[in-house]
Amino acid sequence: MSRLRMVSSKRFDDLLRTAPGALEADTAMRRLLVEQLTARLFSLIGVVVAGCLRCDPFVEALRGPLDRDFAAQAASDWRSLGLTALEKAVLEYAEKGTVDEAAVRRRDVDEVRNAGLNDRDVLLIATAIAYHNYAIRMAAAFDVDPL
Amino acid sequence: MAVEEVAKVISNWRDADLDDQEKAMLAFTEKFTLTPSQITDADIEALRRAGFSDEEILSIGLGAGYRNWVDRIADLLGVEEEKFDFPEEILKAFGVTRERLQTSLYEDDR
Repeated sequence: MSRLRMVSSKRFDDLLRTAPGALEADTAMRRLLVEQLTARLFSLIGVVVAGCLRCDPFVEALRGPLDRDFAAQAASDWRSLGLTALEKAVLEYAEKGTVDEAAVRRRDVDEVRNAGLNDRDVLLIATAIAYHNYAIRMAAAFDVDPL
Repeated sequence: MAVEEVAKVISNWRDADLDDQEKAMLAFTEKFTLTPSQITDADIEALRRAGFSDEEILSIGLGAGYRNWVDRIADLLGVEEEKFDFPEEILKAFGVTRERLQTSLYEDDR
């Protein structure tokens, strides 16, 4: 059971279903990001954001197509994994955007561009980082599992 | 809300002229933003004791979540803030100058 009386499950979608329009907006956003970024990159960002927020119990729900041990390691120390240069640049951006977002500067965006992403990709990556920062906080606050 | 009061809320909402219900909401919002993994049943109960229904508590969470989403995108992409004409009191509360906001957010340490 969640922390709210009107939501009797631990499901994020049941939580959002109680707020008109929230589930539809969330579903559309997640679908767009997974389609445009790939499920692997979307999930990788999610588990790293969860690790940054000390929400490790959510890693299992967020790992998507990622191997269980790989996802757990990504949450605790993603730099120790064998990732592509692009993935590393994205996760640097995700980590800073989660723990010290006000300190993000143009050079941080340039690092992501230099890894091979165009401005549209950067916008999608930033949106995915922000989405996970929203969804993981909601899940933690109301004791449900993120999608 | 008056500009001076907004500035006080930004710099230290605990000392601002807010009622108990508003302060309970901001205490939850602060924890939601800074240390979400530390939220417990007691935090939700504190909101109920302040007079919020569970539907209203969900709305508070969605509002705080939305701000965490949108403000983070602005930070990540360096939205230029010179288009916003902030009053001096607000700038002071944030610890920035108008001149600082006249430049692109990222120009200081490219």
